[in-house]
Amino acid sequence: MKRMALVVAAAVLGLGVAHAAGKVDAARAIAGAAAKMKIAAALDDQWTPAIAAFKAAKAADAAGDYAKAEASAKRAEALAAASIAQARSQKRLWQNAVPR
Amino acid sequence: MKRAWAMIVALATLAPGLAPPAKADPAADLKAFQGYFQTRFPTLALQDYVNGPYNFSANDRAQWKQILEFPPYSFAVDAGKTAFGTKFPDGADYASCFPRGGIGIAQDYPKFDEKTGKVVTLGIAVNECRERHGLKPLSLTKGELADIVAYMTSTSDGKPIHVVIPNDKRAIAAYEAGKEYFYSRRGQLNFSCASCHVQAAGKRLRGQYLAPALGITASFPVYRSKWGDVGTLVRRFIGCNKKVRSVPAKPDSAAYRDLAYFLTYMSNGLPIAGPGARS
Amino acid sequence: MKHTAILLGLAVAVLPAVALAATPQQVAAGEKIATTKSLGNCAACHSFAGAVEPGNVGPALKDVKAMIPDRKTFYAIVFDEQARNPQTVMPAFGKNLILTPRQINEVIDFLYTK
Ligand code: HEC
Ligand code: HEC
Repeated sequence: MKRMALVVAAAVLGLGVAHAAGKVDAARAIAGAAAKMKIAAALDDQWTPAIAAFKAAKAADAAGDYAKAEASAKRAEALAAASIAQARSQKRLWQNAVPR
Repeated sequence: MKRAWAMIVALATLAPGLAPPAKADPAADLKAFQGYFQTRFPTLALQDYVNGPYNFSANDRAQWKQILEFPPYSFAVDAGKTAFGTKFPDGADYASCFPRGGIGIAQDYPKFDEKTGKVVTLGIAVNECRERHGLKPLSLTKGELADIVAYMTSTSDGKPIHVVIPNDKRAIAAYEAGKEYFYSRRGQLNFSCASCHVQAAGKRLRGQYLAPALGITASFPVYRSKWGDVGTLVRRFIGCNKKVRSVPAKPDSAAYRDLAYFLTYMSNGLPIAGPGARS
Repeated sequence: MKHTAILLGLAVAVLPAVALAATPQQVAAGEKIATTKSLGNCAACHSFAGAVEPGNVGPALKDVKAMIPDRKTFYAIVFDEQARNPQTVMPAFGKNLILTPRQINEVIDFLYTK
């Protein structure tokens, strides 16, 4: 009986830890996305899908769906990273498109 | 030794600068730009470009001509004329803010303002006038301001576009920024304005013929059936930015001012054909 | 008994082909991607059999197997055509995360039927 209680307690604790970890991971992913998107905005090249993914991440986070929040935030960060790469490479490459 | 290293480092940092960026030369750009289109579409005369997408399909052109028999923008021109003639609470009016009372001047915009060092579009000039007389600025994309600009543009119908880039470092920088914006890919779909309106000009994106960038500003403001009302050039910029999944700039941003400056300058010599009608 | 043997023989003969060919579901998914604006929207620029009001910014896609026999090359074109042609107007569907690898494969499955 005692054993049983211990197992249950451990399980509950484990769940709680997993839950807390999900929350922390989501928050970290959201912060990561926000940082990248700030750079993209400063380069005048924010993509609308990055904004949409970020909004979805915040909404999922608020609703307690941390797995979804983390996934959406990671997508927003990846989109922002791609837009930053685009903006930086275009600083050189745009000249190639000018008719001469 | 230290000296030598410093030299090498200095040289290395200089290296990318060895091929100096081509010196800004708007007049040469304009010649190359107009020449590019004339070579590509040898049957089009320069003034034809103001008809944008309707140069490429007899069918679309016929429909358009039919629409123009009862110009859908005439209501906006009338409303704009009334608004333009209405006195401000302080007794002044729009005419007092513009050279030649604001009549027949649209072809000179966008203009570089030496005082602020910024490019001013006709719409922004209208708002500056309002603010000088204690009124709130209007939306730069549609509504009353689009009507006023439509009226002012109608008084310039047929006049050759005459955008000036004065020999002022700030004006040239604004022109260059507009040029860079126009040719830079942006948005998730990875297009520049030039991808569609230079490279793919005259081709069809789905059912839509892509207007060549030459003459693309000449008919603005336009009544667009899709909008159901009259909109300004920035409204179109915003639409084309969103199409490529890029967050648009603010209507009065430096980015859009400079873009309008570059793009309108490229059409210098072509006649004003605004306001216009589009599907 | 004889019947079963024939069936078995047939199954063995057909199996490798079945493993290679795309399923009807994959082809249908690919068609949706190729014609839907929010997905691949290939029809905006390319005509192919069945496309409604296709554009002509890019070349017509027909006899696609002969056009691009190598699937890896096809994948690379859809992933990032700029790598092959820096000035192309074709969007980088993979690089810019417009389509997932699976969606790119589905669109290829579909176009290989054209
Ligand atoms: C994906 C292709 C695409 C891109 C990129 C694009 N546009 Fe457009 N644009 C269109 C289409 C389609 C239309 C409507 C048909 C037409 O008139 O060309 C249009 C119309 C316009 C018009 C009105 C033309 C007219 O005669 O009515 C202007 C001005 C314009 N675009 C400016 C821009 C600018 C500036 C950019 C860059 C910020 C840009 N476009 C980027 C596709 C594009
Ligand atoms: C904005 C227009 C545009 C869109 C949208 C587009 N393409 Fe293209 N595509 C092009 C152009 C232009 C080319 C010509 C090659 C180049 O520009 O490098 C091309 C080339 C190709 C080729 C190579 C043809 C050859 O001759 O080798 C394939 C395959 C292709 N596209 C497939 C697709 C698929 C699949 C999609 C949708 C997921 C798609 N394209 C969407 C414009 C487009």
